[in-house]
Amino acid sequence: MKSADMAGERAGQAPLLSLRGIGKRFGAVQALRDIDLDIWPGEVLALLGDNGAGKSTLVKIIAGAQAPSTGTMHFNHKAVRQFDPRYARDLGIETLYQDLAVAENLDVAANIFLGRERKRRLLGIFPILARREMRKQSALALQKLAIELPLRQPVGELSGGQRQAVAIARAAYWQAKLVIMDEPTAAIGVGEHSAILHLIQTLAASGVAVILITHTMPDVWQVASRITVLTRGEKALDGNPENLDENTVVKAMLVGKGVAA
Amino acid sequence: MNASELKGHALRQFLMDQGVLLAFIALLIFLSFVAPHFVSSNNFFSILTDAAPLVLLALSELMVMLVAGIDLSVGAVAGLTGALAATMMLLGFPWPLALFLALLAATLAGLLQGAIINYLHITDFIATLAGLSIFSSLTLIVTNGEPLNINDNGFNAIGESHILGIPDQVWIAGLMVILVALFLGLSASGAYLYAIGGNRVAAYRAGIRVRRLRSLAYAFSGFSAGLAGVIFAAQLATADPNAGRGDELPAIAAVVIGGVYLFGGRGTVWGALIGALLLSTILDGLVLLNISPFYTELVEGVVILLAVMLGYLKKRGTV
Repeated sequence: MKSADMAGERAGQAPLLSLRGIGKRFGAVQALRDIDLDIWPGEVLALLGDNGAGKSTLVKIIAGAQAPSTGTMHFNHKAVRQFDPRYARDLGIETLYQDLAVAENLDVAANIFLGRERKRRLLGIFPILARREMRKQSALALQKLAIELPLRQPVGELSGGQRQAVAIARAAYWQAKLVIMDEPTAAIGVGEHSAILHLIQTLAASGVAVILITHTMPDVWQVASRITVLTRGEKALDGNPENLDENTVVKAMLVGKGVAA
Repeated sequence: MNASELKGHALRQFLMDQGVLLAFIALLIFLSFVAPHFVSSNNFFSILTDAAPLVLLALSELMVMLVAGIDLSVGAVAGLTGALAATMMLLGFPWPLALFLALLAATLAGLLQGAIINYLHITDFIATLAGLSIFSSLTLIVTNGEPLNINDNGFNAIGESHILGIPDQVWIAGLMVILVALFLGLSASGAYLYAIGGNRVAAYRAGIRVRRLRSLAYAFSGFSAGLAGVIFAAQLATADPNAGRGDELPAIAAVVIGGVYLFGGRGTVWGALIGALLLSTILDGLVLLNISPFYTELVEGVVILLAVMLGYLKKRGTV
């Protein structure tokens, strides 16, 4: 199989994420069937598929938002048995959802630190938020990614691209090992589009593995180092973008397994 | 947005935010002219004393509204708390114990509703409407529909005595305001309430325990409503079976006037406090001006509408 070939190419390096035989059933619906998938650090994996192909179910399992019905998941050499967003995040898996990655009423720093606030002790006793420290750290994190944002403004007043940038900075600051992005360029303008793609590449270059869900084909060839296609809950294609063209990929999305890559 | 635009935005925001405070001050000046008793007969604290229960109920609503909820049961919980405390004192419980147990019951009443809302996924509005019915009825059952006299001077002192010249009721409401302000402003859990109200799913994905915190917000709402009920009972030395009845509406009105966003994530203790003071003073003013009580709710309604329209203009002006 293709994934085995890929593993061969990376002989000596263990995958960061390794799925074997992952399946998910919702009542009578088999949303995912027997998915094997390996992801290595620094890779940008484009996860493609038609609506209802099982992309979001797969991503939810990896992000801990849902438990698989069958199969195993290994992350960073360890078997994952607990499917919980908090646990996944502690492992180093960050998910950037299309609309829901940020709290719109909070400012940039509060969002970057949401759920993992820095604290200091008031009068040596009471743990309170270290807002200034968090703001400083946020500014540094943004600087590192060359992002310019007004730190004190509620995120709801920022543009779509700026919000994505906040979410990416958040993942980078917390040293995520795997970042899952759901349609990161769907709701943003042309000008910001290339900036986000550039951020994805910066992130990958620093050794982070990225799973990119998108419907925008040109994005795939621009940033992805690998393409995986899901069709009706099964893996239909897994290969290097250099050896694939858009036609083959679209055919795999529609027809499913059996399309020669 | 550039820096100067931002500055203008902040200034306008400040003026809009303080609009309610300015209205409050204007009202005080107006009342001191038209109602001579307003200033002379009582000291400054009488306004605060009258407002104390409403401030506590407003804190209840603030806390649940921050997490995009609403609590219609606060008046009923207040009434039940007074009735329970009075009943226990009639049974011979020492007043501190009766007070503690009654407040515990109020907190549990809130927690129970919070748990039903967040773990059984019953809408806030419906769950607390049911709570309103159930707790009102429990009050009637406990009191047998009759006012219960409270003869314990220790308990009644809450409604009469002063510490450092400040009435106990004002101390209670004031301390609660400060505690809630510190909690919301400084603690991580306080920040989480805003995050939940702003974007519940994002908060959940950030690892915040959304259901637990929302349930605890309701527990706080019950507790604060219970304190209001204690003050009602102590002021009259009586647990009236009708105490607190209908008080959920002024409480909701107070926080809405104070700029708390009905759908969660926005609002301050300062706003809730000023909203409660303004509304309470308007209601007092109606009495001072000898205006028929039939007009009370009409005025309340108009004030709510004005406050919401101000909030709408604020939103349209800035976004």
